[in-house]
This record gives sequence, structure tokens and C-alpha cells, in this order.
Amino acid sequence: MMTTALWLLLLAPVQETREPHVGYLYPAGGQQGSVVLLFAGGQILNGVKEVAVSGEGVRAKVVRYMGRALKLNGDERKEVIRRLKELKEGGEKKAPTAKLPNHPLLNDLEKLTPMELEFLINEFLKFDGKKQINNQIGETVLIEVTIDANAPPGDRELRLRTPLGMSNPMCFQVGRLPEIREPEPYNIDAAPGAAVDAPVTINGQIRPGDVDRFRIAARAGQQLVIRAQARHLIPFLADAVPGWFQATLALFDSKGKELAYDDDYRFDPDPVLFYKVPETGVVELEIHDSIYRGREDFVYRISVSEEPFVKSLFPLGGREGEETVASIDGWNLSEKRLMLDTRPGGEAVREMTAGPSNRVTYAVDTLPEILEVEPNDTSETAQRIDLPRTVNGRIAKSGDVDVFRFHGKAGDELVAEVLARRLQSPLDSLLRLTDASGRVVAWNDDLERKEGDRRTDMGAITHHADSYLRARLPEDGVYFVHLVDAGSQGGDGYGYRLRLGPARPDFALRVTPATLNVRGGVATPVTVYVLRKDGFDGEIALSLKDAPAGFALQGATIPPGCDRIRVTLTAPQKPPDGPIALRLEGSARSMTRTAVPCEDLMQAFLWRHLVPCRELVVTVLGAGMRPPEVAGSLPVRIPAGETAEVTIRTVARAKLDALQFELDDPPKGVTLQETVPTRDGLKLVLKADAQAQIGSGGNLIVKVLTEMGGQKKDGKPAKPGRRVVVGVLPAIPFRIVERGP
Amino acid sequence: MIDDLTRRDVLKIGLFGAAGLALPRGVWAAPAFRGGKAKSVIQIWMWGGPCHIDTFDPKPAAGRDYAGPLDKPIATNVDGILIGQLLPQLAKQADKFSIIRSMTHGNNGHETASYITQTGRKSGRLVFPSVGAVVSLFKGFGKGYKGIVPPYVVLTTPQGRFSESGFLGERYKPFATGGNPNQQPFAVEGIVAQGITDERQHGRRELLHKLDSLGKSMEGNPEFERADRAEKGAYDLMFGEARKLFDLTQEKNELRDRYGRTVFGQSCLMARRLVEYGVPYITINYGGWDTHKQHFEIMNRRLPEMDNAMATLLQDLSDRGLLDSTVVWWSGEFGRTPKVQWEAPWNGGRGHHGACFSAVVAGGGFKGGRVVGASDAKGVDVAERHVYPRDLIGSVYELMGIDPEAPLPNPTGLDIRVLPAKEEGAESAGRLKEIM
Repeated sequence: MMTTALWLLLLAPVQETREPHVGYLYPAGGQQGSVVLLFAGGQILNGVKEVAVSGEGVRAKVVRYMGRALKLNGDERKEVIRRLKELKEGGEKKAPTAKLPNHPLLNDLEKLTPMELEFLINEFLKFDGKKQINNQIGETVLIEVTIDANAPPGDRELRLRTPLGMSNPMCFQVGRLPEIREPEPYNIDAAPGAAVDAPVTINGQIRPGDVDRFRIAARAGQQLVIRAQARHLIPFLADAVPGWFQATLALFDSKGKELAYDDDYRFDPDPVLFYKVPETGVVELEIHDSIYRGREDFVYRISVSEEPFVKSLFPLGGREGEETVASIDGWNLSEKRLMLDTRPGGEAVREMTAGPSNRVTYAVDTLPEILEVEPNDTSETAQRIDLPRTVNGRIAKSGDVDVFRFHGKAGDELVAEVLARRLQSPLDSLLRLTDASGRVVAWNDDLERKEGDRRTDMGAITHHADSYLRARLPEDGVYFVHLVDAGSQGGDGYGYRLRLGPARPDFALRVTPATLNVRGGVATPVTVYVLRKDGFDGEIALSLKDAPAGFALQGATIPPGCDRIRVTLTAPQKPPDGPIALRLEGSARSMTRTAVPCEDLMQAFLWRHLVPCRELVVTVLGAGMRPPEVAGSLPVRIPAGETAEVTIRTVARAKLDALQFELDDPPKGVTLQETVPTRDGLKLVLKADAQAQIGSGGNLIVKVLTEMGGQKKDGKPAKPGRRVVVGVLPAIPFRIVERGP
Repeated sequence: MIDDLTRRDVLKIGLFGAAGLALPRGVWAAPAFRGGKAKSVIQIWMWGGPCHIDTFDPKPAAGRDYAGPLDKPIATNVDGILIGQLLPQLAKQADKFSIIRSMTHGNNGHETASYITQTGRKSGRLVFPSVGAVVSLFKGFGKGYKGIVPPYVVLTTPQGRFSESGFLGERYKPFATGGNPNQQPFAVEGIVAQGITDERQHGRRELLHKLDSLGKSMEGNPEFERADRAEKGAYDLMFGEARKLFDLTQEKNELRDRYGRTVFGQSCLMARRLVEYGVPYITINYGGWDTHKQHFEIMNRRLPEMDNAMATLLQDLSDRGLLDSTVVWWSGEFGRTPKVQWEAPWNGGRGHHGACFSAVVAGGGFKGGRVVGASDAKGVDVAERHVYPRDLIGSVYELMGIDPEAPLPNPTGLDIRVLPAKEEGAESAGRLKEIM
């Protein structure tokens, strides 16, 4: 039993189900130079002790773990109300009329802050027949966030640290504008409150059926930009259809006449209203879910201001290292030009703002750039170009066709790739490659890269509208590339960048999860997704960049052609102080690419998305012992139809038979035949069936299980216990090879 | 909808008829058709997708992450067949049904999976009819059925997520009863009006006729005459034998109790009455199996209800000599993820799983006490004998005496057959000959 305990210590006793999880923050942001109290709703948050916020200038601490909302009986309810009145009115304390349940808030009624009182009243005392129980956001933590006056505005990642580790990240925004919080109940049925002045950021939550209204003092001539953020804060809800809070915004005059309405901004589900105020007065702003759903994680932030808002820019990028000035269009813009940062070394897709505007996205590439020149709507008027080029153009009106002509040679490979939707352009591109006779050589509507059912390359974008084609030219001659909008839409904002030229094999990496809680010396599985570009099919070596000593990867080679691999990460035996932000890199040929940490989120019960995060945060929960090692020559070569052995060396060698070992999510045709305790540790016998694909490979992840709670009779087990996964062994690289003679 | 057919659709569908003639015999070209002896189908539609491993394909050896707390399957009255521990009554009826443990179509979306499961076809721009509508076409009015209630009845709410009759049109849509058979009266839509006396209903009709000045001025108009016929039919339903048919108080209380005093239990009893009456296709739309959260709590609550009613239905049909001529088909649009989702937000739920799931068939020519196919050790994938929806549906048609190769009339004039051809993209591994 001692040995089993040792293995439990060596492995990762933290099961997936015991990870702290945060489902929402409310409010989900605060103004520079302020101290904000906010609620974090989630699960398995008991014992929460620290709050980590990414970036500079923001600190946060836990005020109180407030547990779950309780359903009080009549007597308890009366007693809480009596004591709250007593506290309000002062005077002599009377004897309690009922014993209250043990709860962090009820145990400390005298010391509750206004936010805690608000929570107590809303969640414990008010009857809400529409309220549903959602365990995943059933626990609440009160947090205090201090934002420095010079803290850079924008999105941060906030995580809670509990004894079981760090939670998933949630979006917390640092804003410039004064902020208010919705004073519930303040909805369509309630009497209107005092009008607030713009600029302001309004924070609120939509409960089932809620319609929230706010009165805004508006001055004649103001050009108001009213921008809601809901989907942006929590991109995907797994257990709701649609799979996010789909907010609608409407603006009314004092007589109730609708002045403006929006339920999304182009393809972004978060609505934006643009309204020029004709006369001074009060307008009412309304927000609700499009189908009147709601719950605690339907959180929103609405900014009402005259801040600039860029609707479009052109061109949508520039050549690396070359000065590029884009023209911009939108509301409240003091400048119509924006100097793009094209300095070498940055990301291929970058973001920036025009002063305090919304963020705009653009691309930087190394190819020579040209502008599209109209008329180029037909093969006869096609714009002649030399390859390779990046063409900056726009589908300027409905029905516009942009045609480009080039000379190609038989056998040449051509890649045509549109970047538009990924750069916030509403263009839904469709590409065709034709020869001189008009015959279609290749065409593509949407490039949708996916791994299983996970969308891997565009984060929160659900419509993969950008086109991509790669074709081998059949003969020497003239070819045409035709670009249109698939929905026959168009306009000045329908910009694009079209890359035309030979293939440039490359890759990008995603790593998930973005938060890891591990024990010292213990292997923890991590999934790496590979986005192979322009036919790149090579092997990729993974490594940790500038990681503290003791962190290591096992199974760190991604075989040729592999799009997804599970590797393991081990942490140093002695835990470092605090969480560590790790950087995972992949190298192939002369290329090195950083893996983007991602949360693997589900949308509406079905689709999964890898949503990029800022940091890969690893928390080491406690000291461990020398980790098990995979011994011998790697990868393990398993002949098709035969077996191969692999040895796991470990210091915990006694009574290994008390543990069970199983392959986790193995590739088809590979099985674990036998586990034999040896002098060094453990021998695993792996088998590949005869049909296994020669040359295929990857990593094998072996789960370690123990049986808990079995009943014993006369010293012998009479009833089997529950099998519990306690962790995994270090990843075992393998290849299927041909059978020997 | 038809207008939206692409040139490619037309070519695909049009060509397969001709091409099908040249196909080699085997999976795709069925042997010469010999009709079966089934007269009715009771389809227990487990809307939402029931968990296969908690019902008819238990996997206790897969461990807690798969079996959860339901890890003690029970023996049945057929040697070697184990089923879920919450189905003790069905365990006593296992000799009457066969379990298909290798159903598959691979789709995890409710709507699409429902369409595939009930049409045998992948979704496209042409909307095909469901099994019930096809049976209604071949065995309904004008094909020997002379009942007062429509030949395709759904107890109690329409399936709703797709058009059951597809391009066959309104005439073949199911008659959804509405109401609650566990209440007295069972307020069947258009037949039994709750809270309104017969006299008042007749009075309403007379008043309506008095006010119908337009109708009177348009005597002889075919549209109005059609409406009058429909009204007369409706009143015949309301005050004629249909009312007796839907009156469950005519059954003994003891039997009603055995079925269970639940909506599903009394729906099963009602289905048996409809079979006795001769209705060829009855669907019991049994929802509530989309158990993303609180899965095991729901299983503990609902499976005993299902077990009781379905077992009683099989026994009752058998006792009355109806089982041999009645196909009972239990299935949802897919199964559920074998691996329990313990993590937030599911906290012990199961997701959608179309890669491998179970169906149960009994009666009407299906043998009992058999297991068709097998899933792998964890119920994730099919391990033996794939059964695609086309295979199961084709078997039901065959037993019902409907030639799966028969042409399906359609407004496009295309050569469309009852069962999809390979060229339409439907997968098949052959009808269930091993249990027919």
C-alpha cells in the first residue's frame, strides 16, 4: 500500500474533474486608476487564495470565498432579514429566532461589504422562479482588483489559484472610460433611474428573461459609438444554443421610438450602434439576449462614447520592413491615415488601434506587394501580375469580380490564399483558377482546417470564410485567378490580401490546455496541434524556450504528417515559487514557431474551438520524487502484427501489481498487451495489429489506475472497488515498422 | 425546396436509378423482394439520443469513466445477453427482442442525425420522407387501410426537427395526437376537446355554419368543398369510433398500471390499441434523453419508467398474438459519449455519439434473443458488423412488405427508390438477415 501511495505521489492525482473552473467574471473589467470589486463564478473554487492577472499594472486579491447560494427555509429567511434590519438600524442585538446554516456569508453577516450584501439579497432572499441551477458557475468568489492609472488598456487574463491549482483564464478588461454597474433590478419593467453621462462603460448581467435599460444623457451633435461586448468576454458557452450570449442593442428616444438597433456588427456577434444625436435629451439604451435567455455568465460591457471606431482600413497590411500607411474609415476619426507597424520579427497577423479606437487587424508578409487596379472584372481586362505577389484589393461593390492574370509553366505549383475574414473584413471570398480557355483548374470557397471537430486556426471565428487553393499547373500558358464575394456582397470595407505564388511550406502550433496544474516530477499530458501550411509535411521538434530548470517534455518529436500529438510535460521535483509562464516552440528545417496556448472550448454542445490565450501557465502543486523514465532506444519500433517491449524506470518498484496500466486514446491497432514489474520498474508489452500503417507513429500515453474502496471479505476482495485514474506515465514515442524477416 | 435542386443533385439522383440496375447483387442490389408478414410498426423514438452503454450495451469493464455508477449489468432470460441494470423488466423479455449494438452513422447533430436515422439518407437539398411516411404511402389509404384515424400516428407531440413526410407532402405527415394519455380524458388533438361538452362542440359547429356567408355564396367551389369534407372528417373523428379508440378507460386498470401511469407508459398502451385497430405506423415520441448534465440522475429516474412500459408492451403484444405482426423499433438519433464528461459544465453528463450506438427490434418477423454486431471495449466504435440506418430501415420495409427497391413517387420526376442507392452517398452493410 505504501508503494501505491508513492505512485500516487509520483503521478498526478489531480483528475480533470478536480480542476478549479471559472465560468464568468462580473463586472468583467474596470477603469484605469480604480479599485474594482468583482464576482467570479465557477466550480471547485473552495480554498481560493490567490488571483493572477496577466500583463502590467493590475493586481488582484481574494476578498472572500462566498460558496454556493443556499436555499433558505422560511424561518432562516426571516432570521437573515431580521438580522440585516438589526444591522441597518443599530441598537441592541436580539436573540436569534432560527439557527442559520453554516455558510461563509451567513457566518459573517456583520462584516459584509455592500457587494456581498447585494449578493446575499439577490441570491438568498429574492425569489426568482426563472433561475436555473448551474453547478459549473454555482460557487462565487469576491475579488478586489487594483488597476494602476497607467495600466495598458485592453484584455487581460485572470485566473484563480486554489489548493488544487490554477483555474482556466477569463477575460478581464482594463478600460479608459468611467464605469458603472447595472443596479439590478433595473430592467424594462422597473422605473427608470437617473441618466448617466457619456462617456461611460456599463457593466451588467442578463438573467433569464432580463431586459436591461439605461438612460443616457445625450447632447445634440454627439456621434455616439455604443459598443457591446458579450461574446468577446466569454467566446463560447458549451451548454447553450446559440453557444454564446447573443446580445442585442437598441436605442430609444424619450417617447419610446426606436432610434437604432443592432444584433451583431458584421460577422461579429457583439453589436455596435452608431448614432448621431439630433437634439439634447435623454435616450434609453436596451440590451437583452436575442432569444431572452440569461444566467450569471451572460455578462456584458457596453461602452458609450465618442471614441473613434475604425470600420475599415486599406490596404489590410504591408510588406515586412516597408513603411505602410493605410487609409482608415469609420466614426469619430481625427486622422484618416494609420501608419502600420511592419517591423520585422512580429507576428504575421497584428493588431493596433487608431488612438483610443477599437482594435484593427492587419497582416505583414515578406512578398512584394501590389494594389489591385480596376477595371479587372473579366479575363480580357484581367490585371497582369508577376509571381509571387501579395495583392491588396477590395470587392468594391456587389457583383465585383477581381481577375488576375499570370504566366505559368507546366508542373508549377500555385498557391492562392485570401486573408480577409481573419483581418476583420466582411468579405466571404471565393477563388477560382482558370486556364486560358476558361476551364476551371481549381477552386475553393472556404478553407476550414480542422483536427477532428476542433477548429484550430481562427480562434473564435465560426465562419471560415477565407479561400485557399493549391494547384499544379497542367501546361505552359496564361492562367487567371478570379476572386469574388460568395454572397455577391461588396463595398469599400470588403478588403482583402491575396497571396499568389509558389508554395511556402510552413507550420503553426497550438497547445492546449493553456493552464496546467502539475506535481513536481510528474508527467502531465499536453496536446499539440499542427497547422501544416502549403504542403509542409516534415517532422517538428518541440522544445521549451527559456524554461526554468527541471521542466521537460517527453515525446517531443512530431512525426512527419502528424497534425495532433499528445506529449507529456514534467515539472521540477522541487516546485518553483508561484506559477510559471512557459513557452513551447517547434522547429523544423530552418523554421522555429511558437505554439499558441489555447483553451479547448465547446460551442453549443457540439463544436470545439481552440481559442488563443496569452500565456501557458504552469502551476507546480507540490514536491515530487524522481519521475519515471522511458528507457531504451526511442521511438519504440513496433513491427506490424507483432509486439515490442518498453521499460519504464522508476524508483517505486515494489507492489507495482497494485496498479493498473491502460493506453489512453491509443491509435487504431495499437494495444497494451501486458504489464510486467521488473527489477528496474515496469516492462510494457505493446502490440500493433497486422493492418497498422507502416511508418505511422506518435506518442502513446499510458494511464495509471488504482482501485479504490473495494470490499474485502476474509482478507480477499469480495467486491471490486472503483477504478480511478491517478495519472499518466511519460509519453512513449513509437513507430510502426515492417515486420522482420 | 425542389426548385433548389442543383444540377449535380439531379444528375446524382437521376443516374443512380439507371446505374443501380447494373450494380452487382450484394449489399446494394438486394435479392428479389419477398414481402414480410408485419402489419404495423411501433417506433419508440428516443428523442435526444439514449445512452447505449447504460441501456443495451453495458461496459462495466471500461471503468468508472465510462460506466459511471451503472456498472452492474444484469442477466436476461437469454443466456449470455446482459443489459443495463436499470432494465430488469426488459431482461425478462429479452427472448422477444434483438439488440443491435453496432448502429452507426457518425453524425453528432440532433437534426441531421434524426434525418439520417429516419430516412436512411444523408441530408441534401431534397428532403426525403421518414420511414413512417413511406409506410403510410405504401400501406395507408388506398393501399388497404380503411381506418378512421390516419395511418401514421405520433404519440403525442410531433418530432418536429425535420419534415417527416419530406417531398411526399402534407398527405403523408403524421397525425400527432397532442394531449396526455395519462390524463382523463386523453385530449387528442381535434378529437377530444378538454373542458368542452359534446353539446357545446356541436353548437359551435352550427354557429360556424350560420356565420359562413362566404361559403354559402361560393357553393360548388372545389376549395370550399374540400374544406367541408375535411370538416366532416374531423367531426367523424371527434364523435365516431376514433373517440372510443383513444379512450384508455376501456382498458383494465390493472393493465394500465402495468404499463405505468406515465405519459410514456400510457402511450405504449395507446400504441397497442392503435395496432389492434390496424394503424400501420405509430411513433411514440419519447423525449428527454439528451442528457448532457445530470445524466445518471436522469437514467435512474427515467429508465425504470421506460423499462416497465416497454416490457409490458412486448408482453401485451405477445399475449394478444400481435407481436408476430408488429415490429417494435427502439432507437434514438444517436447514442451518447461512452466516456462520462465529469468536467464542468457537464459534471457527469454524456454528449452526442453517432459513431456507435444501439437499437432494439422486436416482432413482426424480427427474431428475439439475439445480439447483432458489437461495439469495442468502451462502446466508442463499432467492432463487428456495422449496421447503418439504411440497413435497419430496409429490414423494416422488407418485413412490412414494402419493396425497398420500389420507386418513390416524387414531384421532380426523378428515379428515386424507397431505399437510397450507393450513388446517393448512403452507407450500407446489408439488411439484418441474421435476425429476420
